[in-house]
Amino acid sequence: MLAALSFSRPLGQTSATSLLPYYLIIGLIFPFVSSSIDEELEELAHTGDINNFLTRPISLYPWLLFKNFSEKISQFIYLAPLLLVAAFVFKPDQFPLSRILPVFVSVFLSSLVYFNLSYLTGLVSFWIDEFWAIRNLKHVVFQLLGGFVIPTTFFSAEISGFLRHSPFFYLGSWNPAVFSSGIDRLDLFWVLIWIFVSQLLILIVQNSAISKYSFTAS
Amino acid sequence: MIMKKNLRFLFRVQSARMGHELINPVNSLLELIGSVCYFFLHMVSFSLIISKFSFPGWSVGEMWVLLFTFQVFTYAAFYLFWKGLIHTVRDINRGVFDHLLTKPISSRLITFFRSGGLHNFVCFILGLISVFVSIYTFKLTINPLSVLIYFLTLIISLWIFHSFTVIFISLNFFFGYIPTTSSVMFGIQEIYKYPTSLYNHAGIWAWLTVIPFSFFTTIPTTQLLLRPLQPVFLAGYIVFFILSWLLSEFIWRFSVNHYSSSGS
Repeated sequence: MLAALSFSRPLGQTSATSLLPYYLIIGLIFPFVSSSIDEELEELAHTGDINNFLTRPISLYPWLLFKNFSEKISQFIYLAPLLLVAAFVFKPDQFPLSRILPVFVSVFLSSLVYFNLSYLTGLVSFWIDEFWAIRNLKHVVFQLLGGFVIPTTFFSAEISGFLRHSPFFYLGSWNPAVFSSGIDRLDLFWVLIWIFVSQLLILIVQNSAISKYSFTAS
Repeated sequence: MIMKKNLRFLFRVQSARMGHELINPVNSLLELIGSVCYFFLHMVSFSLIISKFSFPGWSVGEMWVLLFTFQVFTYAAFYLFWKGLIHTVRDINRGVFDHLLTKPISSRLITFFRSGGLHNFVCFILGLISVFVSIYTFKLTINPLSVLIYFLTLIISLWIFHSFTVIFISLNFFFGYIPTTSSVMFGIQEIYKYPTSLYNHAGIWAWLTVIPFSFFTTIPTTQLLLRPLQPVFLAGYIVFFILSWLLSEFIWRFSVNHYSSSGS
């Protein structure tokens, strides 16, 4: 898309060149933030493997969460050379070293929000057979409202302002903002609120899903 | 005679699948939601893009027709090929591909045209309606012949797309199980969304990578809207069509002739 836009004519102040840093950051953080835990949860429910968690003294959510973060750590090792290249692209005056910690914090919190919302989506598979449709819907909503396809600043001021208080802003768009100006306290407050709310919802929905769950045939 | 037999087979496969899907309307509705949400993702993102950028030589109305042609093309490709693409790589890997080869019908037809669901067909129709609504809304000029050529070039574009998928899927015969070969052509769909003329001055690399694939939707749209088409693009489109067809036919025949489930 960016390649196509570079040959187009900007109508306002936004040009393809000005979007380049945004998409570079979004592209770099996406593997660390995104999670397909909903697919894994669906497979566990539909194959009956989830029984292992219902009969043994191990909780499903923490196990999947730590599995997810261990995968992210291995991804970080694989992608380290790319991150180094990015460090050369962003010169020290654009990205001071003191901002490394806030960026790590924002990526960690974003991945937690992404994981929780994906987990909630995955729990729907306890009630629905054609889960791929719900997964597509999740993908579209996250991509569009999370700023992975288009920066949320492209939306009107009202929608953009509304999105800033929604959990979707903290999936993607928040990270380029932290890259350029550090963590805003209000954003930190909202992201923690959304993590708390999503954890609470997971607890309620998961209890309801498991109480209805029965696996009798393979 | 063979053409008639193939068309009858194609019709039966499609109608059987549709009939099967209509048995459970709730599932069909969910599938439709899962499919149509991408239709709206493209629409919303595109409307945001054209509010910030203009494309030289293309009016806003023409760009909308191009976008909806992209939707028509993509959903038609999903409907016709997707099922075949995901199943064929598994069939080759598991050694059950032999069953398809024993059937008295073209191996290429039975392998790749397996129908991709009613939801994709509905989105395809939705795309077509949107094309003509855009033409009416933006008062663009068309005529019956341009509509006919539009559908003809769409079929040619779909055949080129299919030829490339055949080439990619054939890699599974030689290099083992490569599931991503099913989705390569869908993975680069962003290229089909923008007009070919955009890359006109980008040099030889654009001709080798982006331009041939951007023909898929640009050529049908220019024909429909009676826009002038550069002779070099038309020639490139025809050459691309013939070359991809011949190459895919050669690779497919070679692959099938050398396929053996017991030895793979």
